[in-house]
Amino acid sequence: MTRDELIRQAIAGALALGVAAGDALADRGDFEKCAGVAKAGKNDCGTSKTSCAGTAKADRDPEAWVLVPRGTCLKLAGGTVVTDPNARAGGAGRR
Amino acid sequence: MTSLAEFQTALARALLGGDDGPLAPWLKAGARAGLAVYRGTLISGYLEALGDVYPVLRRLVGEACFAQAARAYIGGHPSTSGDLHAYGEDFPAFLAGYPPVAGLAYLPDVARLEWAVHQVFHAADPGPADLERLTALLGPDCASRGLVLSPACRLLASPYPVHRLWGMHQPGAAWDDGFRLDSGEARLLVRRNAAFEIECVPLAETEHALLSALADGLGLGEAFDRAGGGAVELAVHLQRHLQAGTLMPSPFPSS
Repeated sequence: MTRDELIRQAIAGALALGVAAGDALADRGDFEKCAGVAKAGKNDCGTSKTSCAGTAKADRDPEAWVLVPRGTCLKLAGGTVVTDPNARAGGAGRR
Repeated sequence: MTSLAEFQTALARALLGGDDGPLAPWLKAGARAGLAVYRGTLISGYLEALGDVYPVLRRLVGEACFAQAARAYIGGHPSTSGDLHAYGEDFPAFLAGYPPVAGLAYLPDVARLEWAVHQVFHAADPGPADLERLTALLGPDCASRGLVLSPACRLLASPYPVHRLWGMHQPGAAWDDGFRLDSGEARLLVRRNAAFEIECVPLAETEHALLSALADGLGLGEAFDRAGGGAVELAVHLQRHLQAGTLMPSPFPSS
């Protein structure tokens, strides 16, 4: 069968079996559902709820923070962790 | 005489760049304290928006490092939309050139995945399949016709298994001590299911190539040629993704 005939058959097959009604991907044996994530409660109020009171601290000199990653990346095997001493607050060439 | 644009530029520079010199002619005595609150509120709003879009990134590098990177980004990337949900698209590209995380080469790809998740979550509902348009594809010029990716789907590829990394950082997910970042590349379909959940579906190489070619606007025949692999295998992928709603006929008639 030629390429073009296969394409036509695939479209006809989809039409015959039903389009976007079922969950064809989920029926696959090798399907990996990593996580079902609903972004609960995420809305405009959630991202802009900050009131004026007490937020002037965000205006502080940002260089007071330490720049070295300190999260779960330290636990990961096979990836590089930053150890460059310059990548700290006050390090050479950082602003 | 100064224009409105000059004032707005001066205000933006004072708020985002911290340089209120150009704004001085408009500042009354004591106005700088108020400007600092304005600046703090604005930047906290951006920080929260970025933190909401990139929660996995935040956990990967830790609060302090994330906040630092976000501040550096915010200073050079004023919002271009009135919708705060549109803020942060360039953060992955920014991270790729941000020296403190240069040793974490997978980080920009994790960020791209999170941006895709964010976009898919807020994407328009594609609605029911347009059977009439799909049927119209079956004409003699079938192979030259194209399909589009559903608005609630995104494709992503990375040399790192970023989907597994992402999955491990979801609330309630177990940490896999055996996980290795060098355990293989990822070719992903990020999509929203009927329950409004976001899923990362790993794709076969030819499957990802076919969807990418169609998303790039190629006709079906050209997309088959570029995807490589057997035409039978590609036809199976095509039919499956039409049925799942990943691929849709173009809403605009192709001339």
